[in-house]
Amino acid sequence: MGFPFENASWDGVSGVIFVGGAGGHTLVYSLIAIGICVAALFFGNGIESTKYKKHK
Amino acid sequence: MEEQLAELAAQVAAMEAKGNMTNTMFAETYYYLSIPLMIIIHAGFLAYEMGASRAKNALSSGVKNILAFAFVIPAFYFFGWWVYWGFPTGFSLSEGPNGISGAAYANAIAWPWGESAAYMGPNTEDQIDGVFWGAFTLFAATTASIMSGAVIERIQTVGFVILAIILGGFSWTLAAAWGWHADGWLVQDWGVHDFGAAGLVHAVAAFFALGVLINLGPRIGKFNPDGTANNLAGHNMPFTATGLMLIVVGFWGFLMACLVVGGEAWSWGGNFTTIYGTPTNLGALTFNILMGVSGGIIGAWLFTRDPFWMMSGALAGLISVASGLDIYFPSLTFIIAIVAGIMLKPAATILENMGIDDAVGAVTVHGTMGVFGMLMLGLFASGYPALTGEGAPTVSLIGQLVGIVVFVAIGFSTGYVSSLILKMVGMLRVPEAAEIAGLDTVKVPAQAYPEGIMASPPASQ
Repeated sequence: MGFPFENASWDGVSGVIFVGGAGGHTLVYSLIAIGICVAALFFGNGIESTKYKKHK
Repeated sequence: MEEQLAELAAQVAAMEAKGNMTNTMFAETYYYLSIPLMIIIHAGFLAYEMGASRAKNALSSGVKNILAFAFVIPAFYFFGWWVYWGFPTGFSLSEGPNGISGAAYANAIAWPWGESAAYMGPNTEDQIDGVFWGAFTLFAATTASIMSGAVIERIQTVGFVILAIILGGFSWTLAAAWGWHADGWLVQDWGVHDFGAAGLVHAVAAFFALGVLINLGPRIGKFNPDGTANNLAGHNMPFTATGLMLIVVGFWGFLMACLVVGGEAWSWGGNFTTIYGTPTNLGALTFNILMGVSGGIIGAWLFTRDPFWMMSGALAGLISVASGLDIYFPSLTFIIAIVAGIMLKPAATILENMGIDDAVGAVTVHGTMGVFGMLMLGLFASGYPALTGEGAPTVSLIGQLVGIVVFVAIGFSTGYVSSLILKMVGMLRVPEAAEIAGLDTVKVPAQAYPEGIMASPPASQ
């Protein structure tokens, strides 16, 4: 990923310091994370529905 | 005019002195409060282990856990603190570049006798060493608790306490001296960065436990003659799951103690920093701890739907991102943690298929995920300075790999050798008849459930 500042030193560095500091990366990571949440709910609901069908 | 200026200067000096004292008291109180928070980790491990034991072993598992906590404290007082300050540069015991390590330095501040005892007891001119030592002592006690769960229901009490003293007083402390201390050779030479101790606490403790498990062997009935495993279910899953949540609570104390408070002579500057002097703050920790816990739970839920693994997933998620809690972007933290939660159960099954009876999945949760967490930092934070200052070493995948190898080696070798010695002298495993009868009946002068565990019928209306 690389250090987003000119020199690999903390001297004079302030503000945003997180890994993936570029704007595009934060959007990509966030979209992936949101997608995983939605997929998890979808997947979980599928399993739950299957369990209920066995107990009707 | 001159009198007014002098008076003003005196007032400024007085205000400055008050400001400094307020800062000092804040720093002292900050670390002091991290200690009871970390004790919640032990309350959690206590509940977790007792619940994960069968009813016949519930109290003996508790006794073992309580004694680990009690014995690690004096061990860290009498020699563990010295190890942390003495060994950073390696076995040469020489002074490091920051001048705060080596045998001479440790002799001056970390022995509780002679002149250095001034730093190891009440002292009105020293408001930090006591609380700083206390926070590190609780890190040490945590390592012993991590090992404690893995070995329940068949280990001898005193043999276990000896192992806890070695792990809490020496093994993890050596890893911390090398990979956490600013003079540590892993930090200086390889740029190892492990902010929240995924490797130097969790992996060291877990691989120590693995070394012990190999010599200890599985519980009777765990494996069939064909090698397949049986599930020896604990007697109280709700207690276990609640204990795991308490561990998550306690980790807020553990991780707040990983920060260095600014503004003191021993600080890296005027603000919060990591132990490496690199910038971060409580906000960074808050974002990433919560996202890590959340990701781990969801990941484990996806493939297990079992509250034990879901709460273990919370720990796995947290440990998998612990190395970079100071610099991760929270959405990235969530993704790493969810992968850890997904990996958790399959990793535990692999270990079980190898014939290792880790009763609570400690090797997987703390070891596999500790290694995974250090590796992820090498992938995502490559190029970030591992220390503060010009010319500081930078984080790299190779450096993190070196750190992993060293931490695993320290944990496994010390755990394996010490448990092998205990096995040879007959102090490791309880006799077969005692294990079958149940350790509470054999050696605990109290009953967990004197009236049985039958549910009472509801009162009539």
